[in-house]
Amino acid sequence: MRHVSIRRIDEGPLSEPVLLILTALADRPRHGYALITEIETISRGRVRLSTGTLYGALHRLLNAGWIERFDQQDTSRDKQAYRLTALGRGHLQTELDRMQQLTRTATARLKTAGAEV
Amino acid sequence: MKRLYRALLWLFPPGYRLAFGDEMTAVFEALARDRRRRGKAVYLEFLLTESITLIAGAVLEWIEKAAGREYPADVAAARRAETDVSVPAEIIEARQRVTTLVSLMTDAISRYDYKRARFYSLAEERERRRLRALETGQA
Repeated sequence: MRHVSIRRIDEGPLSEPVLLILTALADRPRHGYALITEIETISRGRVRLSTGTLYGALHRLLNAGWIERFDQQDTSRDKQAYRLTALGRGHLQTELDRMQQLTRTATARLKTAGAEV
Repeated sequence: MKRLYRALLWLFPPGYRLAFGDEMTAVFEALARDRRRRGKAVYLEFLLTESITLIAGAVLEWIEKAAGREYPADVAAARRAETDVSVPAEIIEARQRVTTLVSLMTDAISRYDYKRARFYSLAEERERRRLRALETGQA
């Protein structure tokens, strides 16, 4: 079960559901069901978002202006789809830079520790 | 199951429900079809997770609303519903009373005044039952 905290989305590191949603929207817009299945694929089946968690996170992302909602013409019916805004793309990039920096530091320290053992 | 899901959506603030309710129900139905195909255990886990996260989500959305962090579409949807001439005036009034009572309850909780919060919670429950009866034409 995944939870979205009540703090503002731009306060501190991104939660995993938010990071996965932004990642799923990075290449193209998607509607709710496509987001859930894509997140399951990205996380290799580890994360299955519930509708409550997904829409709670989408609500916060819309409020923060990181994503936007629009009508997507579907073959059968109109669906509300979501896409990243320039602001959201910027925040995703910042988070990825932070994670890369952390990964580099952790890898270097593990190597140092391995050499000392 | 769809009926139960829609009933749980009534726990959310009206604006949120109007902005996302139909979409969430459609996604839930599509997921339910998929999970049912994966076996009984997966389906039951799915239903349990959906119910718990929906209830938790409703609490968070009321807190968001109390903090004034509503998505503009929620406000617009709620306003549209309030000004919809096809909706009887008594239903609109009942909806407004429910919204007011929830605000009062949230306010009381934030001041740790649980006695008053309980009073508003019971009043809201009564009002919600009355609203449901009005909407289904049983009043």
